[in-house]
Amino acid sequence: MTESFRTDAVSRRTFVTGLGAGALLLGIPHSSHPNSPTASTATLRGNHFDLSIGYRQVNLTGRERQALTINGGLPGPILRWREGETVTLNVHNQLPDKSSLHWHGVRVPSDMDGEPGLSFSGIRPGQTFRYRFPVRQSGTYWYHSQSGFQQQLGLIGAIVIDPISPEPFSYERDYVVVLSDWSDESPQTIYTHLKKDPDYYNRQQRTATDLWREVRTKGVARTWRDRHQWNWKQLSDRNISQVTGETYTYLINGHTPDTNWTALFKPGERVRLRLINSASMTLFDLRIPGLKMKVVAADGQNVEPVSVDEIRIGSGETYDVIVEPESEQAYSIFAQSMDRSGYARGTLTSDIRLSAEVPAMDHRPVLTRQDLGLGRKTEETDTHFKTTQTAHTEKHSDLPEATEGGWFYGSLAAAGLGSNSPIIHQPSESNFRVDHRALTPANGISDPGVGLRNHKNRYNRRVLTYSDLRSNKPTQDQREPQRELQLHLTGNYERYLWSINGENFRDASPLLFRHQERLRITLVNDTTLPQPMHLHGFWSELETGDGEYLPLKHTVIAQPGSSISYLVSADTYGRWALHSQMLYQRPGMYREVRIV
Amino acid sequence: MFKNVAGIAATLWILSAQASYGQAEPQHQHHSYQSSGEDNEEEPMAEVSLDYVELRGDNGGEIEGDFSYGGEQNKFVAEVDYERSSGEIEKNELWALYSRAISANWNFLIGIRHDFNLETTSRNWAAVGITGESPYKFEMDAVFFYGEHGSTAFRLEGEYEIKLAQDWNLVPRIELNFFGQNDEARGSGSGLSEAEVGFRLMYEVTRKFSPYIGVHYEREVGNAADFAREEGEDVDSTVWVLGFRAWF
Repeated sequence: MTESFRTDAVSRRTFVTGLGAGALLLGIPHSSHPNSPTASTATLRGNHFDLSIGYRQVNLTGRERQALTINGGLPGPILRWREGETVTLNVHNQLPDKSSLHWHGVRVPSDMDGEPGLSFSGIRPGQTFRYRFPVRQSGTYWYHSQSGFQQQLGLIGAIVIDPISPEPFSYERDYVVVLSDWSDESPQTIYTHLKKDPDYYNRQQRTATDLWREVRTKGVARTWRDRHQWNWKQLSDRNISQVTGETYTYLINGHTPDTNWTALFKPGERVRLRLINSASMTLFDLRIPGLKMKVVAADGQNVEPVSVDEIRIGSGETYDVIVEPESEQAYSIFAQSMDRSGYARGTLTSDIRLSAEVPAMDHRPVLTRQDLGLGRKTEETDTHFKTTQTAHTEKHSDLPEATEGGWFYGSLAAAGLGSNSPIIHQPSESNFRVDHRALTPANGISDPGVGLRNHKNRYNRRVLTYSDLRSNKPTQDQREPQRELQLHLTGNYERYLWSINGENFRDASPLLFRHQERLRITLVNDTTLPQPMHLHGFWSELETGDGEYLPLKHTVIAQPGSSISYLVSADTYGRWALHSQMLYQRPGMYREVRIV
Repeated sequence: MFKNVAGIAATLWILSAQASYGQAEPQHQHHSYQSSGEDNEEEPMAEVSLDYVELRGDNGGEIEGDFSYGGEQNKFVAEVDYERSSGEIEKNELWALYSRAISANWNFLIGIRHDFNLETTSRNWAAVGITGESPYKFEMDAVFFYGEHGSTAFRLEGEYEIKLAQDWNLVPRIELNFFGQNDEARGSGSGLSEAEVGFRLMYEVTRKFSPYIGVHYEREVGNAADFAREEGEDVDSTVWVLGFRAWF
């Protein structure tokens, strides 16, 4: 199957027949097939790849729908590259519309980045685009279409890059776990629903019954006080996810919870799982009940191993974990959506006939004051803007100075410590696009996120936070940041408009970075939703407090009502994108970054 | 006329049903291939919203809804408000408005309103107002009208949605009409002229379609009440309502 897809010369007709066989493998419980990931996902190796973007009928929920595929696969084939080689990828577009593939997290020349409108104009119907670039990194990444909402229809796949030098950990088995969200509704329909009724998929809204319960336990005055901030702002503390299990079926490697993707191990083996969240709109909380996960890499880059019970994976992020199941039994790989409206599930088992119990979903989260951006006490209030101070600054006169566009100069905090700049809301944030501004945002670096904050007490689980991440290699660029860019992630939930600094992508001028400069980006999330922000072309070196071992990421979750900082070495010329990975917010919450 | 209301309601319902059925068809997924990456162009969106399509008592009813078309900030809105009570037309309005988002939760409106009237003459109003959501999520419309011969009017509408359960809503609604002068022919008096209050219990069959039942109370006030009494009409009435709300 793999081989036949590698020839580019398949006619449309044979191609479609081939797809039928693929669908059989995908859709039917695979008792007759060995349960390895290759049963449904092909792996392509080497340095020359022919990929074909097409479509085919799938039946994931009992209804026939059209999915977009790469070489007939949903998800597309796993691309296995080697660090140090140059890869060539001929991507042929069989769709009646433009398409593209973006290599998420892979540092490539700007014109190979696959970002329509910035790095090229997209691949026209019937045409082939040749991507060719040297692979200068190793680890787990992924690729997806960056055209329209094609990602939602299945144009996703994993990239595994084998390192030149041996890895600092070892394992006997290696599996790719691609998480995604599938809907029978077309992406355009989902988007239209959100535009017309942003609560369309929210079945966890506040009701009169809640109110009654709350008044009985807390009394009227307390209930009123607790809800006042939200009611006054016309926001809801139950807006956890915008698109939910109401329409989504959550998949692991293209398998529904019923068709149960399964991976095998022998007791005592170390199993590496390459967790990739390629969902359009879903943050997953993943755990394997009964097993500790040793996190060895984040966004493809190795970190000092850290053992946890649960990981929140934002859309776009990847984590490599090693688990060591010791007995002959089965374990569930259980990935709940952040709002607990559904889950993806797979099985890790020593025996193909065994499967483990699927755990119940956790409590449904409710947003708090912290998510409104009231996480930190204001120390002083200026007439022009509200400022907050971090632990790193003692005196107000030491604060960096702001200039136009949210740039800060002066006494910036040392590399690794994060921002010490005052939070300044730009005048452009005061318009109809913005329904809320975080006045005293907390630093989100050690926040596990909405719904996970009390997990140790509640479930005795250790949840990974960004502050646990420490690179296993010293920070390459040891320079201090020369300037800092503060960007506010903004939106209007009711109007379903998303922006940065209150400006839509179309109206905003590109962010200009100087070639070779070292700079700090601080994201202030003024929305009440977590925003996984993806910067193309460069590493986002998360400022976790230890400047010597900054973890390298390509996608960073900005927690609701919080701020987060990372350093960037602007070492590659070109036009790049910085955007939210949430698919239906992406058109507005998007900026061009230009290195000049 | 009762038959008219029911007929229009039925037609609209069929239209809405077809529209939602259409969206379930796989071939409609076709648009989603469209490339919007380069691209983040704002596409205008059209929406039909039927807020109240209902029968009131034995011999009345209302159709209130709008069609809007436009982008993120600027929209064209066409609005219909048709109301009957005790066999007489109370409202027969067609609006054409320009709506502009002016803040996170409010829109500014400007345009014209045409009142069709079968018994007396039709007339036109210039309309200026705001619509949006106040803190604590009260939906409000406040529109000022300036008509021929210097006549003025003001309408304030408010609605609130109480979620009883995920798919059950109780919706109180209020409408107040003020006039700048007496108009005996139309039965409207200066100052507050008529007030309507209603409660509707809605069930969301789908997010886009909610049938409901409820009660509706309306009352003539001040001079308007005097005119009604002179005509030998009741100044207030309480009726049951049965209808649906839909959008697509």
